[in-house]
Amino acid sequence: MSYLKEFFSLAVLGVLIENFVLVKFYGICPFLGVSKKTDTALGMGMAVTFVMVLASLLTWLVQRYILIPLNVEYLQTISFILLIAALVQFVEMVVAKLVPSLYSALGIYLPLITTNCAVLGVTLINVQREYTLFQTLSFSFWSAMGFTLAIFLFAGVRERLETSKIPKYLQGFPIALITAGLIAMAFLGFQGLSF
Amino acid sequence: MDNSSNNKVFIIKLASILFAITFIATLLLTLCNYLTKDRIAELASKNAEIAKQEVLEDATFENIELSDDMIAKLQKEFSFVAAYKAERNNEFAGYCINVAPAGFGGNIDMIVGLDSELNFTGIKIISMAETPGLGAKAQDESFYGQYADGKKGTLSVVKNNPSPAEDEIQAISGATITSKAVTDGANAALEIAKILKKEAE
Amino acid sequence: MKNNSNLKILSNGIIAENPTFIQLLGMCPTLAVTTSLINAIGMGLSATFVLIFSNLVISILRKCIPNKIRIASYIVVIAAFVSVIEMLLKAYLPSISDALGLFIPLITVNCIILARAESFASKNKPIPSAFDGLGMGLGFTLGLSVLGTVREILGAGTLLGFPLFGSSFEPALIFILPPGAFLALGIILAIYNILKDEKGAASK
Repeated sequence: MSYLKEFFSLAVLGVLIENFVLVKFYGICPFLGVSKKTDTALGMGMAVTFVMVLASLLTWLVQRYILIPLNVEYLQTISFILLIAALVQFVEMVVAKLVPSLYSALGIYLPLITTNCAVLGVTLINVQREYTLFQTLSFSFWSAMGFTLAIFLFAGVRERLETSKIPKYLQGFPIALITAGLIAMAFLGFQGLSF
Repeated sequence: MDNSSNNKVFIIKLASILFAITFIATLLLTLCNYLTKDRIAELASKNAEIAKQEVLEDATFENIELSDDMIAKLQKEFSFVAAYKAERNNEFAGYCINVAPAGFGGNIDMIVGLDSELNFTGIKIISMAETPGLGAKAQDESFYGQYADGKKGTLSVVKNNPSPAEDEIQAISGATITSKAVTDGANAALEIAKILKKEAE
Repeated sequence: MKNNSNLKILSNGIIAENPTFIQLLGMCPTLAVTTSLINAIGMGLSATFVLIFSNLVISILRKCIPNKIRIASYIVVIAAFVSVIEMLLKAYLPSISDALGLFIPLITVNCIILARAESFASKNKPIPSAFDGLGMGLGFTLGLSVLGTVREILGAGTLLGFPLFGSSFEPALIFILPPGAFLALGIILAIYNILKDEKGAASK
């Protein structure tokens, strides 16, 4: 029961209160870059979710059973990023071999994920907050969902923007940023929630 | 056949180059860690020492040793970091409790002072990462000064109340989360001190 | 002549290919840490440090790194320098280190650094590469500082922590809250577009 409660309170935390993109600013590059269409946005979101949960699991194990016992926590950043890079490459190969249809859908996003700061960010937060394995997995899953939600919402708005009349100097990035600001304002309203 | 063995040699070559780069990087980091770790530790203990002196003046402090079970329990319930017993002229003068409640931008590492009657004597924030201009105002005396003489009991946060009662704290405008987090920390310290006092008796 | 070309590389990073305003790279820290000018400068200079050294080392190693493991090698080199600056900040500038928090280790995945390694350092000699790192780093610092200044003045009514207006001034808090980051950068980019356009028209 308490696991269930923890799972859902981390859902509210990860998706709404600490939305990775709109409140914490992790993963802005793909948010602005890959969010022009809703289906590509969903594809990116799924790929990120997959990698974030796997990376969280692996880095938790590395932190717990290698870095802490050996007293080398200062190697955290370098070992985590190396692990993420290797993981992304590995996932790319496995998916290409086993599920070619999924690969053709997600393939182009996978290399971009290594440098998505949401992935390295979530692994570092898990460690910083001393989450248990269960909390680590739940939090990384829900924050990835938060990322997906933000990028999907934003893509929806941008599809509409394409057909709207926009003042000349605001075209392109400026209007995208201002739109993102307005969505972020809505998320500001979730700040007071707590469990 | 030849191709595959060539391939193997190539892969081994790649792996050894990557290993060499990683190895050198690790050596560099070990050296850097060796050079900076003492200073980082010293800085942390110095800050904690100054903070303790500020919340309970002219006292001497002694770290309270607790059992592992107790520490685990306090960490789980009260974001406990460490507890110190304060003495003035060889008399029990109160407690300094180091807690780290979760704020907006990560944990807020803070020291809470309580006198022998468990009234608040003051708080001091050692480190935090709250938003400058908003949550970071918790480090202004106009906010943290509220947790001093005269405050007692479990505290609650109020907004726009020019004369807060003895168990009320006026929130920082626009930073309710930080105000609540700091107040939670103060309340947690009070609960910890109650447990410690009970054990001592 | 040689000095001249290094200077050109330097100014290229600061103005012509400014990472923040033109290339729109490294947006995460740009938006996250610009709540005050001092944080913006701290982040900018930390990234500059990493850029100079990672560009330098990658350029020196460019001939011994096989193409296949190039990205992995770059990431290791970058992560190493990031960890170094992280430890130095913790030891010597603890307040900046606290304020920037996780965004220090996240310099590792700042796209500017990997982009410069890939597009400049892997193809050029060490000295120009270091200059390229310095230029890009300063350009990034400039971008962050502009945003930090605007947000701190509008959102908190202070600059570098000193109050600019009387106590009756009510700052627009929204600018130091997360949405303000998006709004401020969007508006600054629009103003930049107008200026660029006017300059273009004037030179014609």
